[in-house]
Amino acid sequence: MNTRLLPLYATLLICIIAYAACVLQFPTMFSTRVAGNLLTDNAFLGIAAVGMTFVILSGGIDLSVGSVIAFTGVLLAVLITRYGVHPLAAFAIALLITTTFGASMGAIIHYLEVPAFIVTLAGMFLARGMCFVMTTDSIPIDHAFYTTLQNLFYRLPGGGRLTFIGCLMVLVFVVGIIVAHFSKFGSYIYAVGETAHRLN
Amino acid sequence: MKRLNTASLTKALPQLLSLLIILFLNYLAFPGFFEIRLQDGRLFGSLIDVLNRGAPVIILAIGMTAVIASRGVDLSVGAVMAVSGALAATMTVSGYPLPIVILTALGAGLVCGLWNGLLVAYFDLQPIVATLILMVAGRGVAQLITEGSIVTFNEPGLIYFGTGSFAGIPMPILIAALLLVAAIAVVRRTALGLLIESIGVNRSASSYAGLNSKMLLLVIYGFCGFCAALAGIIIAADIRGADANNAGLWLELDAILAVVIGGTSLFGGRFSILMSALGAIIIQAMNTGILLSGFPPEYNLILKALVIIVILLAQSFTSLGGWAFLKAEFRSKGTNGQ
Repeated sequence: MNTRLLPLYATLLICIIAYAACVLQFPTMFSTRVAGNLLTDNAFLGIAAVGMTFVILSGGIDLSVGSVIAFTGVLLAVLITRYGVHPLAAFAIALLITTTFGASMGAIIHYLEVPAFIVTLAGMFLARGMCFVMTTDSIPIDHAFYTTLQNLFYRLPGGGRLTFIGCLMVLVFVVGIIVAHFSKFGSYIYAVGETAHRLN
Repeated sequence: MKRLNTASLTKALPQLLSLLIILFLNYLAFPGFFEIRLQDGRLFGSLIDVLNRGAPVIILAIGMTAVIASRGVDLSVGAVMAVSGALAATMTVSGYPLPIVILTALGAGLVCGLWNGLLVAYFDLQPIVATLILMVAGRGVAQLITEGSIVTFNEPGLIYFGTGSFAGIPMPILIAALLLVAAIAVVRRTALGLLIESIGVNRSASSYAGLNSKMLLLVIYGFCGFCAALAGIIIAADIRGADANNAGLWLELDAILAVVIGGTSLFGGRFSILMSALGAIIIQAMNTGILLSGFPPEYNLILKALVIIVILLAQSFTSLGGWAFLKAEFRSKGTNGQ
């Protein structure tokens, strides 16, 4: 057994025990319905965790993800509902802005040698503040495209739904694994993290 | 304490300048900012208010400086504040005498801090993860103590810690100042400060040199918990109640920010408690200024973020060597052709 993976096995074991405890109490927990819903409901968390994994691998931390998630939500609502932008275009704009935002924090961390904890803390305030600046109302999104996305699912045996966003999370996991373990970029990230660890 | 020579003044320049600029902007936004008057035997004025409101973060920053200097971080101080405030409020309502209430609340903070220290020093957990546990669990504990409600009290003795004054100076300022002087005296008049810096720079080397670094870490985290409890009592006394959900919410971030603005590195080592207190005052001056300026409240967070970024950039700029660094950087880029 690979000792390097022991923490992973421990987490897996706890996950199985917790799920089993739930199933013992509520037998219907053990169904494709619940499994499908777990994937769907936690997709945003899982996708953010893939990004966070890379940041932590490089020896840093990103406190701003929660605020950036909120920022994206507000931005999409404003763009789609107030300005009538097509959701796909809005997604592209949101991804562009947030990626630039993250990259600028990375630039400050690297070139100005400010600790990641503090830069992303300021980023957290900034992103959350931008939400308030855009709007202080809650704006509903009801665009036909969103309904289409919601209706994109594969029906599993037992009535569970493998939804589009659930699959998206799995896809992001796969891409993350490939980038981290089978690409030059991934090895560089490990190397940067290892150096940061040794130096500090 | 170190002699105030020109070298240490130059190091403190970015912070002092930021504070002066922020105070001046506050004065522009609100012309009566520097007025201080004595009324009913207590000092009043915006400047006094900045210190008074900033006192809890100053107290947190004192404990946090020691933790960060040992290359750790304590995310649980906000939750510990809620626990001590909840204890103080519920015990007062149950009719316990004031000294016992205060000692129990402080003791609870100390125990919380020692728990963090135990996890960090003896179980070798990363400080950020070890203290995250109490950050989440602490609010639950506080809710158990208050049984989910906001406990209010009217006991003049406890309220005195939040809104009372001694010789014209509001109690929170007095407590923060006393703790500041005591902490600086202890770390700089004894070898303690040096030992903290030493485990912050290299813990295993310090252990090999014969330092009981585990015990020292335990003491450091315990002290941080004690500071958090003190801040929690002040906040509870100020609002005459304990709110398990909101007391000290996000204050751990303000405290860490104060320490970093004060110039203590998050990677441990050299630290200055006095500069951390200055950092806390800068943060509070900024908060008060934003409120006084009558700016739309939507912009508060953005302004705060921008000011923090500017202060950090100014700091990093001076620590990297100022203009000389930029020139050298451009020259090397030019020759390397990158």
